[in-house]
Amino acid sequence: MAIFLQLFINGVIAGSIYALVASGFSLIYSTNRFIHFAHGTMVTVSAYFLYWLFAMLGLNFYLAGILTIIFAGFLGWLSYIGFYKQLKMKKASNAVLLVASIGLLILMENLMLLIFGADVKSLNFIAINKGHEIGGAIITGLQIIIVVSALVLLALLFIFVKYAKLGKTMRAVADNPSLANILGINSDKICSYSFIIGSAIAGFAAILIALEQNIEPVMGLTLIIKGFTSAIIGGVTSLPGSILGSYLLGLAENFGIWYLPSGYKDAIAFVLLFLFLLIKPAGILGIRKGVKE
Amino acid sequence: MNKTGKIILGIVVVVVVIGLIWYGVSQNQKTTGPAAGEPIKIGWIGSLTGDVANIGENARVATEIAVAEVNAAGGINGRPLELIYEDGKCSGKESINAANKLINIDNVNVIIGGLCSGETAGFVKTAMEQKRIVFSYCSSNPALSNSGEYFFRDYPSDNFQGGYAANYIYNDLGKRKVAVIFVQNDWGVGIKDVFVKKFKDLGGQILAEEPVNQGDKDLKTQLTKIKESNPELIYFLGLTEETIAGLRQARELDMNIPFFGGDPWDETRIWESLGKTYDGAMYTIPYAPLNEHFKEAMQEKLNNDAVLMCTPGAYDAVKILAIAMNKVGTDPDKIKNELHNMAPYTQGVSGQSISFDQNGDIKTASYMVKIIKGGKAVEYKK
Repeated sequence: MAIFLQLFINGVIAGSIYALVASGFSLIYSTNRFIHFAHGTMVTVSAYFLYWLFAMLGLNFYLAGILTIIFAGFLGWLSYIGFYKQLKMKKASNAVLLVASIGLLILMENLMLLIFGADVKSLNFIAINKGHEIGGAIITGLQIIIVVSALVLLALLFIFVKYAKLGKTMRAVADNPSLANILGINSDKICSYSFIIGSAIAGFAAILIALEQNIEPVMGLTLIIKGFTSAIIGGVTSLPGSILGSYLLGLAENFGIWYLPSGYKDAIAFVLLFLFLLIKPAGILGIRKGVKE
Repeated sequence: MNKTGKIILGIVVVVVVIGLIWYGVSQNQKTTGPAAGEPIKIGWIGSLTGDVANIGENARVATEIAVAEVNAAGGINGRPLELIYEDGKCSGKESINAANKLINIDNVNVIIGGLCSGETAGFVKTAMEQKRIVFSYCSSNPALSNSGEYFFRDYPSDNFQGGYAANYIYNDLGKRKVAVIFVQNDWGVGIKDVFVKKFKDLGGQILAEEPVNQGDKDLKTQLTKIKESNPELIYFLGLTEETIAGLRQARELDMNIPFFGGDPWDETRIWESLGKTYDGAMYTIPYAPLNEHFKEAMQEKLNNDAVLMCTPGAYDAVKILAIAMNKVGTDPDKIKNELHNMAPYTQGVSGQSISFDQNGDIKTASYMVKIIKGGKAVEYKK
């Protein structure tokens, strides 16, 4: 029983991290309708920004954290205005934007490599200690914070999209950009807002991931692959769906390697992805709409 | 032609012109170079980014020192050595690109590298087919022994390390029930296989064998499984990142089982990152008779005293190749014969007496055990 509970907790922790990445990704996807792979490096760059403020400049950690979230939002806005929007204005197709976003991911990774070097950085903000015991399973304080804050943040996001005016407008743009335009909604503005909010969530994720897993230039790629997989499984156009997908993926990976050798962890994730793409391409909660290109 | 087309054409023209000018200038420089003669180009492959970047960079610095020393002493029959450094990223996929560039574009006869076993395995076959010398300074996978007649390494095969660790854990530490965590690459699997066989032969029990992917930062479930099996010791064959994550999570999961590692634990970042939480952890590393001259030269270049696991081998590789080439020139066949038949090299910093068997492996290897004390690795003496 203890091992079951421990694996469940391990799965929920992994799922929370995936959800923090997937939710921002999914928010940006739903309004913009292209795959923003560089979302993963928003986490990387924000994590380095936090490292720079906290470990190099010696700023207070909480202040550094808030600045990191603001910075991430700004970075997301910049990547939309300075990069994607320019391509969109040139009538770039979604395939072009996808390749461009991979390009942006590689560029950012290499920039971090150039500035901070290739070696692993740790914040060393929290001392390594034994975790808390809950029914025979162990979870650290930080991991509790990750899970709780992921859940709270995602609940807030859900409420925002569902009830706030801006959130509703976003859904309108996601639903039908041309109609939203005709009704006088500035869809371009809404797209940039979704980039700001989605990236700020990535900034928040960066803080927690930096504390839990250390920082390195290539971390973004792994994160976005898992975040993307989660979003597809759950339904990429649906915010609750991508969150559900994240937890499903985290649990499947961790329970899967209870029986299988642990080297198959990533294989489990991708088998799940293939199954969904084959059987239910719209994901668990996604709705299949007429796609127009 | 529309406006965009013209711009693209303009850019292409500019790039071509700049390229031609640059080529012309570099050709010109070659012909009017110093009287010392045309440099002898040698390729170097190592992990300069990624999981073991710090180890790779440390080795690269030692290589530079060795090259400078060889050139200061007259080079190769009056011609200076020129090294071309390429990043293999500790991966066979990447190293093959690096090697193709070195062989086809730079036309080198000798490649020093790679660092990781998988890196070397990635390009060694191509290099053998093209009859180029491959001299690895850090790859330890036993399977590399069968690479071919142009392959050499001055880093001992894991047949030595895995066996040494098994023997040490069984006899010196007196542990009988052991769990193994290993990174799933050529190095991790190679050393794990040797270790498990030897440990069982000695009469010990292997309770669990858990693989991790290279660079994985969540080992909680592997550790949970191992904790259930309740071993007396965990033999943890991880590179930098898996090790930091795994050791940290083991402590968080309240596992107070002793850890024993392999040579990548010589990476100082691991212990800087973990602080003093892991005092008492041990690992094996090939015994390297570092001399003061070498340590000072490294200190001068790095501003710290780190000499990591691959560094002495990289330094010696340049020195040994320089001796061979001074004797027989740059023809790979002649270098190969010379290395197979040379008298043991005794000036080395990676081993006391270096000579090669018919597989290009060093004939003897000695190891030492290091222990973590106050967040730093020191030689362990009982």
